[in-house]
Amino acid sequence: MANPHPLLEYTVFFGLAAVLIYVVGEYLAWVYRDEANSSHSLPRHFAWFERLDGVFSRIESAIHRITGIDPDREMNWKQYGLAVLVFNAIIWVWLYAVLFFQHGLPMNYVGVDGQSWDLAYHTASSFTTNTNQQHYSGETLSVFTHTFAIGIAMFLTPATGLALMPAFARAFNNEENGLLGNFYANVVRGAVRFLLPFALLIAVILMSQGSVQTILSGQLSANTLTMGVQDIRIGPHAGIEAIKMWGTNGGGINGANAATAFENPTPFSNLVLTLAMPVSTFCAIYAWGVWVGKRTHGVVLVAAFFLIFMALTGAGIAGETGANPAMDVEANGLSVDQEVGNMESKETRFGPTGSAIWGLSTTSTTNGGVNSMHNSWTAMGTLSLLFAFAMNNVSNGVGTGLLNILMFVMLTAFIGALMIGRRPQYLGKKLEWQEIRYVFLAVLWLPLVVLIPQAHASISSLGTEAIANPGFRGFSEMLYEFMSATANNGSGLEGLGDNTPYWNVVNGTQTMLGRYVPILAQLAIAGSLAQKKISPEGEGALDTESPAFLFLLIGVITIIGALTFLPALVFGPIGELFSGADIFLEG
Amino acid sequence: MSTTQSIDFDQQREAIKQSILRFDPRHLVKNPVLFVVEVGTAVALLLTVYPSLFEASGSRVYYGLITVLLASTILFANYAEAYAELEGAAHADSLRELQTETEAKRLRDSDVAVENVGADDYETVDGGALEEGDIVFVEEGDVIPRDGTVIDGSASVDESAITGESDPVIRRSGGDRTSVVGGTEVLSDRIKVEVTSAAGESFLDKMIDLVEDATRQKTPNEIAMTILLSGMTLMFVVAVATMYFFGDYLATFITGFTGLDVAELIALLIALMPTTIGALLAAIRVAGMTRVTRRNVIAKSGRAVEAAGDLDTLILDKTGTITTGERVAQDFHPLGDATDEEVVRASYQSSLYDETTEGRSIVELAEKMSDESRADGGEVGSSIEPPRQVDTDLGTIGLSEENFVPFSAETRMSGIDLPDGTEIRKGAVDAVEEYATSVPGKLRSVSNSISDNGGTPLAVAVDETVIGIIELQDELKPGIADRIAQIQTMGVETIMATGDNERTAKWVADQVGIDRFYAEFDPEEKIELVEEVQDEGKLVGMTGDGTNDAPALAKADVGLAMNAGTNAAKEAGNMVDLDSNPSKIIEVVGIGKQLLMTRGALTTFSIANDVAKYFVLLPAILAAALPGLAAMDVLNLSTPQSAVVATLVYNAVIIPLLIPLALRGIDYEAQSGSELLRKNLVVYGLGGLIAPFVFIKAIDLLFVFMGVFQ
Repeated sequence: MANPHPLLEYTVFFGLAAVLIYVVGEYLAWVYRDEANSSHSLPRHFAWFERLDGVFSRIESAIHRITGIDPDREMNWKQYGLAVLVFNAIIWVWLYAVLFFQHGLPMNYVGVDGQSWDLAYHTASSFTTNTNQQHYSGETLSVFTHTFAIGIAMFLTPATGLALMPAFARAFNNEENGLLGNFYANVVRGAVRFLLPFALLIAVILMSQGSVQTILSGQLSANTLTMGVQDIRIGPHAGIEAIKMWGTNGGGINGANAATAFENPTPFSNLVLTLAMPVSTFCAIYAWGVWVGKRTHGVVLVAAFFLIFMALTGAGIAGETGANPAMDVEANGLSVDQEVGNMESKETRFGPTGSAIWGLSTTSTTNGGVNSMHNSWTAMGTLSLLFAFAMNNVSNGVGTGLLNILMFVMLTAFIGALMIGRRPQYLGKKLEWQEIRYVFLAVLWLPLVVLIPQAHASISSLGTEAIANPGFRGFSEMLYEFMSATANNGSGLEGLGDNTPYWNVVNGTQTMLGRYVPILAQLAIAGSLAQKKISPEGEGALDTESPAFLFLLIGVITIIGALTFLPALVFGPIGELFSGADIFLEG
Repeated sequence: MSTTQSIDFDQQREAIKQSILRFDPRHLVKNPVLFVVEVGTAVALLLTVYPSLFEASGSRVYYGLITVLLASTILFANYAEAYAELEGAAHADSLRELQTETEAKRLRDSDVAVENVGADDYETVDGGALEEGDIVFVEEGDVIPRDGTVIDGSASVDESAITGESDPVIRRSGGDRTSVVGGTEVLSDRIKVEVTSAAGESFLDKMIDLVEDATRQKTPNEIAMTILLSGMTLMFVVAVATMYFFGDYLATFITGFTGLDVAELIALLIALMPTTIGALLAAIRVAGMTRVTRRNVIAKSGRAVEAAGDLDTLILDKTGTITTGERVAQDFHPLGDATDEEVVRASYQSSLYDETTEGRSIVELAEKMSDESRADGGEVGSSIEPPRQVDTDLGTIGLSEENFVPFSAETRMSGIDLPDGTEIRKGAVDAVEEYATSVPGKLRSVSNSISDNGGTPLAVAVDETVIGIIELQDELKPGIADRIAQIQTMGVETIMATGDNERTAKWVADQVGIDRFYAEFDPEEKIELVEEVQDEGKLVGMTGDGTNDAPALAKADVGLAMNAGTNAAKEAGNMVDLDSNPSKIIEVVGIGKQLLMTRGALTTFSIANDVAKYFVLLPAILAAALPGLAAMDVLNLSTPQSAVVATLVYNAVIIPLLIPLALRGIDYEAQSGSELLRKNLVVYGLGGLIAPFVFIKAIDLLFVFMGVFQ
């Protein structure tokens, strides 16, 4: 079977991820070196990055010329925030228009209909916010929609996230200067230097493994082994899949997402795509250390979140390599060999371990692509997925992930500094109530925006009618959907009949609240910190490069972040875990 | 005054009364954490009266107990706050008591010179009747009636009533020692004082008002902390309130389960909320400020105390802070044919009856060097370390005070005549040179090299022959090197500024391990130095007493003014040291750090407690719906009700248990940041994880033993 050595797969995956995070992290640090106002120096073995500068610069200036962007026009935090909102509003309107009117647009090879008002609202919101939650099946979009609406959004929304990072680095590198850089120029730079090259590389690898790539046809008729004829939707699979995974997007062309052979053909492609998720987000945490002139601090942060990621993945693998109690041979008289683990709705070419690592990678980042059906996971596995959400997706999304993590880091610095008798500061900038209120708003926001709708959905038929498996599992289905939307993840536990006006409107609104409120709070923090003086960090200051800081950070994330969701999780996966299989089956 | 005013029984009773009065929601709303507890208590009380509300199923006794425990949580929190505030107020009152109203001798004619004031020149009036600008006459035995400035004469004044320091201080017109404080006593001589404050508005009055205001006002960091705690409270309110609806969802598919118990949810909410730190925040602040006051420092704001904990750099004056301003013997240098032994003996003999600081230090050094451990008078320069041992008999036999030749302005020498007629003289090098008939050639070169090293040479002559030189150096304040080392361990840089020459400055700086020093420093440059260091992004603390220190004191992040200094300095600084001891700023830094650390450590403790509470309360509250969840209850508690009650008992009782710690401040010794973090993380982080598990299990066992909730 496909799953001989869970431990080996685990070790290889995290080993490769660690190396790639370092290399790509140095690269990303180089990309935004000047925009972050950093006194960055390239390690000698990466000096060749500089040779790429010429061609990138030419592409960027061409784009600046065409769009009229003036990279020298610097923005304060309010202008920066406004630019984010305006830019994203334009993407939203374009997405909504294309989705609503796609039946009348070209390249509609198989004659799909336009989306309903509420589904288009949800889809446009979901793809504008880098969430990619889908209340439709990928097959109901035209090739035009995939290529020119979804595909473009998949580049521009992670670029929005990327553009926030150098602005936030300015908060610490600026001395009494509130200007954070030019948002549009940062978007272009991130797209040209970070998103396009890696997406291209991944797309080429995917094609080498057998992914399709076309915009000239929408459907393939195949003669199947059972002598039937099957119509399979095709499109720009390789390209969309590549940026889908590299840009923490997650919305696939096929409803079955990366479980299908056109999106993810082989175990090797699966490894590449799985690695893309943590590498594209964790690299920013490493780059942070470079931007602020403290590589070791970056390593400590990567280590803290990497440890959490590894622990959750371990729990996920433990869950999925175990047996599914619903298929227990003795209890149900079924004859299912579960020796390799819970294989229900998993691809044999990935196996339980490959599926579990993917599952935790997609929920520990805000990717949201899936290669197995999460609703078929065991209670333990599902719990690990929901815990990753509870920590706001651990490393979160491209760009925004770094900022979200820094909220916890600043909270840790606040408490840590007090513990050693200093007024709180982080990287030489004093943290006062003006910043702390926004830090806490950003931290508090996820439970607030998730739990209140969850409470309503639990007691309202609008919510419960969508459930496929009543009981604990049904609770998890709803909670997963709300968390996924608010944290801008996009994956689903599925099983939820969620294409209703209620779910479309609530989830769509959540995606936007979950994205823009924290971003504005974070920009406000950046604006306020950038105006401050830099205090030197002497002997008596909090050492943010020490193991003690790492442990405190993990404690803060676990207790203030994750455990807030513990009461809710009791009604879902924990309840399911401790109630045994009976209730699961009755449901 | 410098002793601590302990809370007496009346105040204890007042604190309890206050803690009940403070249940007033209008008061509690200022502390969002406690306000939510109060709302929860009200709902629990409602359930006790109408148990059937919200379809709850528990008994009246159970709900009543929850109500009582929640109310106790508030009561204890109120008590912590009231107790600390009363302690602060008691201290302010004891300061106020200093201001006794006395009679005053108001001059009829303010122009009469102080020497000529006679009984006819003044009228005796009640001290309270004095107005600002009045001129009063104060002489030996009088109490100075009101704050003022000496405009004529000089007097020694006993300020022990304010400072606790028994040594009298000199107050004179002109210069930096003109200010006198009402309530202090003139011990000798006579002065004319211009009253500078109206009745009830003396400097001390204003200070006390500032202290009282400061204890009522949240410090900036505390505001940030309150936001943090309120945010966490809101988070838990949402997390727990939504559980009620999730319970209704469970009820749809679990037979026999109708929903979660509202009182138990309130118990969970309040257990999770950071009530411990929320209850103790005010006590920590007031206690921190009171600790400053106890060191006889009046801080005008809590902000200043916090800032003191955060200082990066201290600018210290040399004289008064690092050195005593006196010079003491450091070494003996023989010249010509003379031996070490002869010089030590001659210096010793000549100084035996010399009561000046120099003289006593010479005696002490000689005794130490000759290894005759007779050093009984350790008052002067206990810091003097002998450079080497000299085996000599100091030869005290036959010496008598009668033969001592005191210093005279004419000869500029002092000395002694031995019984055999030998004349020993010591004095400034040029004076001795003038007196001596035989001067060794190296006298000049040795004395110059001593001067170059920042020292003062005294020549010693026996029978008109110069035999050696006594090297005097600045006397260091006892223990100052240790304190500077401590403050450096805390990560604070020390800068010394002195008007002395480079050599002297370097010598002193090297002796005590100062990081940076500025020699030949004009006091007026201080403001520039403060600004220069602040431009490096550092927080600066300094001390000062003179009027020309005032701008720098005002500019510094922490300006500790000396009470003995001018009013301008005292008004410019954000702290005033009643003892006028400039090196006290080092202690103030420690107190500031302790204040912040106590807040941080108890926050960590409070938050870490939540882990245990989740594991105890979630299985208990959901026991009816999900008996399998008992697997989460690692403590294996007897019954769900016992678990809920035990947790609430812990949650309430931990507050009074921690009050002493909040008031005293957590233990603090100078350590580097990383060491401190590691230590406090283990004690308060790990301790906070474990403590509730232990306590709750113990209370549960007690309930089992008592047979309740079983």
